[in-house]
Amino acid sequence: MAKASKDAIRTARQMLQSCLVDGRLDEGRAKRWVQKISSAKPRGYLGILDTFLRMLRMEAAKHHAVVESAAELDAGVKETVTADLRAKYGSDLDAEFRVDSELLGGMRVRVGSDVWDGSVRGRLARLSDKF
Amino acid sequence: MSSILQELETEIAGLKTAVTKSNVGTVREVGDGVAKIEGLSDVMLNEMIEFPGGLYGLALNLEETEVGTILLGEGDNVKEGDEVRTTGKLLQVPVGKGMLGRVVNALGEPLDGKGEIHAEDSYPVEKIAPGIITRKSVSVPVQTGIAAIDAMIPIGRGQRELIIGDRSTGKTTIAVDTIISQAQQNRAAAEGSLKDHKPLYCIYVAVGQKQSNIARTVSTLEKAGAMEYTTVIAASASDSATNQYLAPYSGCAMGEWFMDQGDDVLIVFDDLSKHAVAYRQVSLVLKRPSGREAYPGDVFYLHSRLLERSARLNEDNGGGSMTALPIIETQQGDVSAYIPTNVISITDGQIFLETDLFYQGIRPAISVGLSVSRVGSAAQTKAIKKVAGTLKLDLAQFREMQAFAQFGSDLDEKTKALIERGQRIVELFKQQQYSPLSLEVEVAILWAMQNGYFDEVPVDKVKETQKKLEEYLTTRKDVVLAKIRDEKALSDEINDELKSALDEFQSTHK
Repeated sequence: MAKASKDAIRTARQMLQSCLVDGRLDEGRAKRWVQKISSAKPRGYLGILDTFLRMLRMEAAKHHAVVESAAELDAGVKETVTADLRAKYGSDLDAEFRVDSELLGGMRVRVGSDVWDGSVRGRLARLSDKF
Repeated sequence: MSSILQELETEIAGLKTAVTKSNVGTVREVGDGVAKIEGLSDVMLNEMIEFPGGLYGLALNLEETEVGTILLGEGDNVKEGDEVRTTGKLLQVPVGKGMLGRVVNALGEPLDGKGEIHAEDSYPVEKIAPGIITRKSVSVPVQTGIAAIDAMIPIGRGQRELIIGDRSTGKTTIAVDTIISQAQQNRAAAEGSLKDHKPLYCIYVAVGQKQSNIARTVSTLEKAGAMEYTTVIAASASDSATNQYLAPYSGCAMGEWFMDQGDDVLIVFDDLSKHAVAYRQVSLVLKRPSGREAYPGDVFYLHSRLLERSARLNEDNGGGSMTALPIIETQQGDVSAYIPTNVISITDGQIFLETDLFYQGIRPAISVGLSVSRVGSAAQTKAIKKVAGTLKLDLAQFREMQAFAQFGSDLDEKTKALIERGQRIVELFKQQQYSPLSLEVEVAILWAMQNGYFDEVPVDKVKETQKKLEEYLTTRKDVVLAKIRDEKALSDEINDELKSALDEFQSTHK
């Protein structure tokens, strides 16, 4: 990964700001920025692109929920979970459902940096912490 | 049994319904005891971060897109992509009387193989110092047992007195002597032979020292029976920079517990030069901007916030105190370097040790001219105050005259007397390491000096005579010594008794 200078970080931050329309990411603008930087190749362009990509990933994660469950959820439950998450985090949130048998039971939801852990594994871990 | 079952049931019932919300992040970079983490949007400054495998880190840098954390342990198993979570807790260390007699690391974990520590509480490592309202001025002395210090540079309970000097000039020895002296007094008070003495517990924080040196200090304290009242916090040179940076704060937290209980405590930071170096390393790895000598901009605050926690609390707040003896190692006697000047300006005085004096055989090698205690005679007992009187001035004049005397031998009587007296004072203040004197012996010796009982003794015999006098007083005149010890002042009666005792000594030891 190219080392990003302070200037590169500042430029990437400005690029990201210009891609946000009403707090939502405009994918078209982001693509155009990447094309423009790739072709113009300004000083430290690799650093700018790396930082921009990282910021985009973090921005996207804020509107992307990863729902893990021990067993496959049925469509009804999936819909309810998605609707509940959208009510909390905004209507543009998209939910990704994964199956992780290590959870043993229950559900674990991650949106951005927030994790809602209702899995059996999580409860057992908390119980062992308590003792 | 049923109560345990009930407790477990409530715990489990609480877990059944609870879906916990936590704030997580992902390790982006790890190395040199530092991890950069993405995410952790709700993290707080100095919050503990939990890594997989039970490892903890401390959030020190909160940046726009990432958090810089220092790892509180071996970070060999931390990988890029690992999920970490906030704990909502500040770093805490165990505190309490259970820590006495133990050697622990910067996190308060035992290193001495004496088993688990039964701590009474846990205290945050970083804490704001007591405010103005809760404080009281320093008035009770810390009897160091080193005659030169007690007479000329008195240290009070709640004071911060810097011990500064080049390498191997006896800095640690002064601190260790003080600890041994406290243990002797605490024991005497417990046995009932020392009246109105509030025990003074000790904490010795070793930062960046060789393990062998720490082991030697611990064994010295054990031999002197001082470990019973002492906690040693060891962050040796082989420990991570993080642990070396945290050790003084941990020690301070342990001391604060005693202070909050209304007890008195003495804390030695050995040494803050190495502490500053460890903090510089942590800061550079965290990519904080560096300033003079590559130290970060907040290196002054690093030490000021630590030493400000030493205080003497007023009676409404328990009346406890924490006295700090920070140690600074200078290079070639240069006190005007960055870290020494910082710490000199923070503390309430300094004991300056000189290499030249050390090699001249004047040990402790205290430079009287450069050493000062800003608390002054407020922290001296009446007896010491009376006998110490103009000692510092006499010695300063002696040093000045000594330089002149080298040019010629024609000196007036007054100057000759001054030099003669000065030479004897210097001899009297020479003291073997790890053998602190008691208050009453110090007072008696200094009284003898002030009243001219050493004037007839040849300079090279002063030490020998002093030893004999000490022996004579402790074995045959212990009644006078006991009176000085109890009254802590020189009444006319004690003066008369001392006079007759010394006259008797002089007539028998010619």
